[in-house]
Amino acid sequence: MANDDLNLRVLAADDDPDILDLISYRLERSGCVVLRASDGEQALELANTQHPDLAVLDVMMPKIDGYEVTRRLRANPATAGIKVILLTASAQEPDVVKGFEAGADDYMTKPFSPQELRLRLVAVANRR
Amino acid sequence: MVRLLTYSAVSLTCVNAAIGLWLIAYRLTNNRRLRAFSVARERLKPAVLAWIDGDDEPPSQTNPTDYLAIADLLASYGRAVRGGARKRVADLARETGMIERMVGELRARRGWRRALAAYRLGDLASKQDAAQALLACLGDRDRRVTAASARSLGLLGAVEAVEPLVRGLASGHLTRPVGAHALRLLGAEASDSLVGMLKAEEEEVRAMAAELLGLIGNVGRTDQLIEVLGDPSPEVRVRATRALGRIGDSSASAALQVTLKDPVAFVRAAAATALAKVGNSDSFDQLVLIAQNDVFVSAHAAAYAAAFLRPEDVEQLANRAHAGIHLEEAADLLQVVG
Repeated sequence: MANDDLNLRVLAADDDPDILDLISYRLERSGCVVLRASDGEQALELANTQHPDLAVLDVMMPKIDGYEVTRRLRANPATAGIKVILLTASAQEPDVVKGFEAGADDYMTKPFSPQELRLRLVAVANRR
Repeated sequence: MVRLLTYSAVSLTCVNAAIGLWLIAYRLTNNRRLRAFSVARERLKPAVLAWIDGDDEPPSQTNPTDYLAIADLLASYGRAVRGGARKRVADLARETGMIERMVGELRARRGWRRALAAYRLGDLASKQDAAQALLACLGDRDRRVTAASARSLGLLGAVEAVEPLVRGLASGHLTRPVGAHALRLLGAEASDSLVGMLKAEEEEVRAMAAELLGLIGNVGRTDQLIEVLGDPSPEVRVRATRALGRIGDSSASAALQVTLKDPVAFVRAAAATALAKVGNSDSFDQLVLIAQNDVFVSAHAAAYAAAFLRPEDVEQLANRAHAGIHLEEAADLLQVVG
């Protein structure tokens, strides 16, 4: 699998440690610095203090869900520029629409492909 | 007598002490095993992740604890990934003999061991390696085993499981949540098999296939469900009608309007509800007629459907004399809902 130098700071938030392992491993191998969060509150705190370039957020997280984290990131001028990819178990149209309405840049369903995540991350990061 | 009682008391105390010591030893050994397992899991995690990510070197295993730790890691990651990464999980599980061992466990005497193996195969194995063995487990006498097998077959995308799943649901051997979850995992891939089962000999199987087609919600299957509206069994007709309502394809409107004249009242009721879901306002007059003249079950459903489709018209009708109790009730409900 591709090992490149993306040189991005990525916030990965998921309450499942196995998913965080998979995301972190793939992205760190691609040259990213990965900030790990296990719930929405921690994700917002890391976003506010560490200023990542991009966030990969699980939708169903404890405390604050991924939609709400995305909305709060967008509402805060300091974090509004962070690109967001939502990761969720549901591929239903209303859920996808809700994600984009909250301000997400892309959407991936679980189970996911780590390789596809890297490619989507590159595409989203390159968007203006 | 006193001596006998003394001997008995001493013997019981000794037995108690022995059992206590055995339990302490068992617990200590178990804790040590768990600690060793946790250490091995953490140590092997990078190697397993590297393998899943595409590295050529498989994680090395030197003892049974390593083997168990790798199996656990592969199962945890296997259920989270798809595509090439999932294939690598299945490849390593096969090459290390894990699949063969788990398939063997499906024949274990204890139900929980069979269930665990069936569950794990869904996370680890490929369809080619495990589907046949899991299919055989759908008939297991232990519900835990059938539930785990159904879930794993769904995860593996084994469409050959559709027929046994539907038959299991129809006979009551599989519970609805278990069967429906497995079919939801199979998704649209299951539709072809379900359509074939609409012509099954058994009424329960045809009814279940129709209901499941509605749950999967494939618009491309509307025509086949419309055909089933002519089935001799009212139970099959009612489930097909509900399925068409759930799918919501407007091309079913004409057929659903015909079903409003079905000889069985609960089929007419289902047709009225389905027409509301499809959003067919043309059926309004027909629904009002049924609401005013039909038996309770269909009249009630027709009034609600009419209120859903054209609320203002139902409110106006309800104000007239002899509107009928069902239209009046629907209008009252509209006022409450706002």
